[in-house]
Amino acid sequence: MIRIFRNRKAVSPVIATILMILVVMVGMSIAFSYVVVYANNYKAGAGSSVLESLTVEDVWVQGSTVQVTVYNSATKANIGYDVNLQVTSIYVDGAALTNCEGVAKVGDPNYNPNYGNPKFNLNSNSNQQYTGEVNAGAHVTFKGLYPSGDLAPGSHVINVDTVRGSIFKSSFTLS
Amino acid sequence: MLKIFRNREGTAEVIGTIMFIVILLFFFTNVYLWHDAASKDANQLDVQKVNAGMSISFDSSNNQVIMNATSSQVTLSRLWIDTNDAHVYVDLGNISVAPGDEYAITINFVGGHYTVDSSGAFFATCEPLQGNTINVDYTLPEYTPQSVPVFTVVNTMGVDVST
Repeated sequence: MIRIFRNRKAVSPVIATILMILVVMVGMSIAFSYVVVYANNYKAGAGSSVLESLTVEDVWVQGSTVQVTVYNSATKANIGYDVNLQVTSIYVDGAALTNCEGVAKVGDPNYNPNYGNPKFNLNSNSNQQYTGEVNAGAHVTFKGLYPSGDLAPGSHVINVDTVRGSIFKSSFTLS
Repeated sequence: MLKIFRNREGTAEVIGTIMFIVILLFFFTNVYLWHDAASKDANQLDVQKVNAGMSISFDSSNNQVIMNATSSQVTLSRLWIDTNDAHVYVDLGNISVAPGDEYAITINFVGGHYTVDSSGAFFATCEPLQGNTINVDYTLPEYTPQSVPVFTVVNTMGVDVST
């Protein structure tokens, strides 16, 4: 028995095989981790853009102030799971609304009492407490200024963009 | 030819590569199938939206808004009352309306006025559903036939119809 352990023949092939297996396992683990992380990120991010469903239910214009109310219909009752979304910007006739802000109402799924005033500004990254989320089943109102002054009577196009890259288009008519 | 097949050198690399590709394919197929299922779910919602037939009408003689589900059951989420002076919403509390022409929800305007929520939007309140009737605590402004308010109802699938 002692002779077997003292015999050093073929030690290097064994070490080489073990090392090779270790290197392959580490390499494969890294590769699969990347794939799994990529898949999960894709599902949570851009991949879920097909599931986003937003309705522009009301647009109210007073001079250059545009008040837009949206509804997120991607709910568990409709598609099997809740898909929350995040509004990044709102355009009217191709021009982004400035000073655009939204407010979550007390009782809304978006309302977080820890933040106190849940008002947020889409055009500013500073001091944000609420970053434009519209949770599934929630109605959220955004207000902003049309940059070119008062909106003229007639038909207008409104686009609501989300962080996943979806664009929800609607139109409204001013008399 | 026979010598090539009898030569076992490099067999492990070939098997390893094939297994690597098969496992990678498994993961990416998983993502593809998930995306396919998600697309189908989204398309299904679009089909439901198309089939969610609703109609809304306003009877100015008694200030009643009548909403009907024409083809399938719909769940009503919100009613908008739009005038020149204000856009006021009423949360309907997800009322289910059975399909059929004969079932309707009638809204009676019983007085009161709108309140301002924290976003600056105006809202009115309503009483719990009583039969097919909802009493909305809101007084319509005086209007001429040219300025009759526009009523819009939104269901839980995001479908809206206006008078």
